[in-house]
Amino acid sequence: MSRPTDLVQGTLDLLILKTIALQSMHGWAIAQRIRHLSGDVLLVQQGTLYPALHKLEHQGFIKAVWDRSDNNRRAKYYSLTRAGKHRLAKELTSWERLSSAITLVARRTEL
Amino acid sequence: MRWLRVMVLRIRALVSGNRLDAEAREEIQQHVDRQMAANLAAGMDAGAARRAAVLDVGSVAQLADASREARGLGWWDVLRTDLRYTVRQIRRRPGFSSAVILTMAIGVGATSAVFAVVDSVVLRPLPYPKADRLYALFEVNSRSNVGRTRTTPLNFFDWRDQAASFDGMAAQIGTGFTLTGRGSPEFSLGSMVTTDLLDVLGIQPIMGRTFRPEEEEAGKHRVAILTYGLWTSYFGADPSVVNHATTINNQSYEIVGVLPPSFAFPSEEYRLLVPLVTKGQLPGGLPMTRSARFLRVVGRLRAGVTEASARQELDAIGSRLAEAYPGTNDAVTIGMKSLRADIVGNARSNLFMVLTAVGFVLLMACVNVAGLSLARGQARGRELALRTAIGASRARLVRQLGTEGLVLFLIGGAAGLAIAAWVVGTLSATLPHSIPRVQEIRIDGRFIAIASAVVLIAGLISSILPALQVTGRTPSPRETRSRGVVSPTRSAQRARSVLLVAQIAVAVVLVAGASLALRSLSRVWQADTGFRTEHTMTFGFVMRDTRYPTAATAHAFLDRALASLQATPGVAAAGVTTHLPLSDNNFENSFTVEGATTDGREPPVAGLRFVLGDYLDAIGARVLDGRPFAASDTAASEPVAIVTKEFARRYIPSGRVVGARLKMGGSDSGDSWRTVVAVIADIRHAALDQPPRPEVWMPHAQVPDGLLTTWLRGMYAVVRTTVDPASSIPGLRAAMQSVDPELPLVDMRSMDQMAQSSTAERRLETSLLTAFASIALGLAGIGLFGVLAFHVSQHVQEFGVRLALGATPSDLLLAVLRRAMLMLGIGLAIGVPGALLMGRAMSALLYDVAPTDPIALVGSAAILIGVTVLASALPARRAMRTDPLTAIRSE
Repeated sequence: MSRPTDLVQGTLDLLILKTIALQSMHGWAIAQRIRHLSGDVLLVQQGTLYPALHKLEHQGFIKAVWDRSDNNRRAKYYSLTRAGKHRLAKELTSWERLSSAITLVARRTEL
Repeated sequence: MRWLRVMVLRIRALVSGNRLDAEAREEIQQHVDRQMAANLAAGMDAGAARRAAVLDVGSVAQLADASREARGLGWWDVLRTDLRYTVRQIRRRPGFSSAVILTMAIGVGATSAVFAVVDSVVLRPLPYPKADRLYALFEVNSRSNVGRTRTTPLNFFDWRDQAASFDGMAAQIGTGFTLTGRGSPEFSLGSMVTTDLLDVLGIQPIMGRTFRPEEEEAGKHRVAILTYGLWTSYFGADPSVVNHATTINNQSYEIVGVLPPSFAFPSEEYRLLVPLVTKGQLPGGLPMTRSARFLRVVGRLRAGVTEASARQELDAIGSRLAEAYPGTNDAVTIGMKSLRADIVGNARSNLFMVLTAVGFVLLMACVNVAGLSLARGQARGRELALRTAIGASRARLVRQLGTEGLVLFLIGGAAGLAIAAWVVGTLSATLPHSIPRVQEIRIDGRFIAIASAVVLIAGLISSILPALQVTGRTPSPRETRSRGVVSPTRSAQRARSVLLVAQIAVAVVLVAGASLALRSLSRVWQADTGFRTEHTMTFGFVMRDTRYPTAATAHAFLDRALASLQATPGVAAAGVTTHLPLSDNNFENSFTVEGATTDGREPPVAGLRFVLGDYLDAIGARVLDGRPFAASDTAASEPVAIVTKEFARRYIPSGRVVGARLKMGGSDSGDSWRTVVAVIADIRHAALDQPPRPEVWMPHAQVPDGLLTTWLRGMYAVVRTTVDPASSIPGLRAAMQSVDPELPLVDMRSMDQMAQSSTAERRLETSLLTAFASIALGLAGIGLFGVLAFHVSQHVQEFGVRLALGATPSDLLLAVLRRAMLMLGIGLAIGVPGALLMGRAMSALLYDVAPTDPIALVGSAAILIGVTVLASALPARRAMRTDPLTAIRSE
């Protein structure tokens, strides 16, 4: 049985993959982007963001390089690997399936 | 490709975990900085901006932990955490921890020590190459109560020549040797062997050579091979002894070889090998006939030949010999038995019984630890519930609890191994040598491997199972809130009760077994032996044929020695015999009773002893009818004999025993008729716990000369003292030295000591069993106490309510006792049938006690009831004294 925390974790993975799909970013920027994209609804706790990033990195879905950032400081930039792109595609489909299912359930209870 | 990347990253994580930790910290620190900058930009003041940023991130250390776990290095870090946590737990609960460690130490220690003994004695092969192909071969005499005998030389030669199933066959006979020329004279047991014995056993000397075939010829036989033990003790491990002469039995022998330490045939006591002279005549040599059975034969089965086909061949050879030599071989067949089984004998079944008992003890120790862990797990219910609530998975909790259990267990196991090593060291030094292979008992790699496996398996069982049980439930919100201990679930309580019932059942089985063994032992001590052991000193000596070559010289020597002993201060009576009870020395012969019809039946067989001096008085034999031997019974007077009651009962049907006449051998033998002058009480010759066999005693003066010069050279002196027997030793030595200063005295012991060592094996097994039963009883009592005390502490409120509603304290007492008695009842119901099985399995250890002995069974049940009452007394008292007000208020 999957627990609620697993669902949250899975969702966060998806959000991260989606966020860095277009360009590589460092952690803080990822958090900000997720926050903006979701209209300030999704507040990603840093306590979950970095473990998630490191896990994805060690699962081989994203890769990280240290680079100079805009303010000329060293920063760790994350980008998708090939496996990460596949993973994102798969996660997206299952997310859509899941969220439509949730919507469906929500509607039925509304009725 | 992904797996490659993952692998590289994992390896990097493994080898440079600290640098990665630093990177992660840097990354997070930068995040905090950025967030602070953003906060400042949003218009916060510097302090607020920093606080908000730090709050947002949380503990950096925790974050580093989380990302370390994310890096997939989990198991190692988790283990480290678990271990750290475990150490904290152990320190915080010293009572619980030491209970577990102590229980396991006892369980593992006892099991491993006993296993080491059983392994060395029973399981390990004999120290010879391909030892499983070695067989003891012997004659089986189908005449009544003769059975297995040794082999005659001529039969042995025929077997060796005719049996194709064997690669080789060798023969041995033990004898005594006196070594002189290096300090004080020393007596040692040794062997006369056919020259191929070492080849058959597969033993190579560590120095020198083995015997050559021609050394079986008289005249070429003065060569000797030393065992390692004799070489190191008497010859001081001198490497130059080989090819040098030494003096054995006053004759010069050349030492040709030294054997490795592993050689112990037929036992370690036989420390010298010389060739058995089979060709040519030697004065006083052994009779090479088909009627004198004295050879111990060992054969090596040819590769590819099965035991069954070898038996067939031996049967065929046996019947051919019976046909060819009906006078000697008509009732003789050939028997074979694996050499290991032959040496280990019935020590095997008793040791396995003890091993079973100790296995039960280990099981109980595991059960007790499991019970303790269960109780402990329940007491920690709140903690576990909390951890589950904040996201710990069940696997994570099981791993944590399992680690805690295993660590305690490993400490206990290590302590147990230390105990075992100490016990084994003590045992091998003190165990009686009557237990075969006792010198081989030791702790080695094989033992440590098996013992460690035992520790691990027991540890897993007793720590993982409770962990699964304790975590296998979802916590209720009440549990996370409750400040006190959490009520155990029904299933946890049931699990503990089941474990407890199992413990009680095991305790019943072991206590019953120990009772049976103890009752047997006391019966053995009470048994009438036919002789007295108090105030009696004995020793042996060998009249060497080189010094006393004729019957006359031997008689003269014995008379002088006897007179000298009788004149020693503190000696009340002195006698000499050819075969002393309990000395492992026996001689049985066939007899003919005058007038008794033996047609269709075999002639009587009985133990034969020649005695002189006041032997009957010295050994304390009881004359039931007639007169003891007297000084007037000489070679010239009428031949006489004394028989035991058992002999009279079996073989003198007329009932008029005194005055009956008998002779050695068949009715046509050369022996003269001897008149029975007395009947004495039966003598337990072989051992205290073996039923007496019929015996015939004769005056030593009337020994046929031929018998004296060939067979009866070893003698035992028996002295009844008026003082402490041990204090008489110097006087006795001086008395013998005054007669023959070069005569070594062997085995100087009191009869009390001999009686002790006769029962040593039985006492050892009984005391082991009793020790295990006591441990089991203690464990069951502690387990019962624990369960009941826990039960009472969990039900204080309930008891309070019941008291408030009108229950009397004695109602509560009864409630607790009822619970205890219910578990006891089920335990007994399982344990008593188990005890009956145990009784049957240990029948070899029982003496004059039935496996179903009601006293032992009822007694064991009574002991268990007593322990149950004791164990429930405190908890019941506590239940009775419940104060309703405090009880209800306590939450």
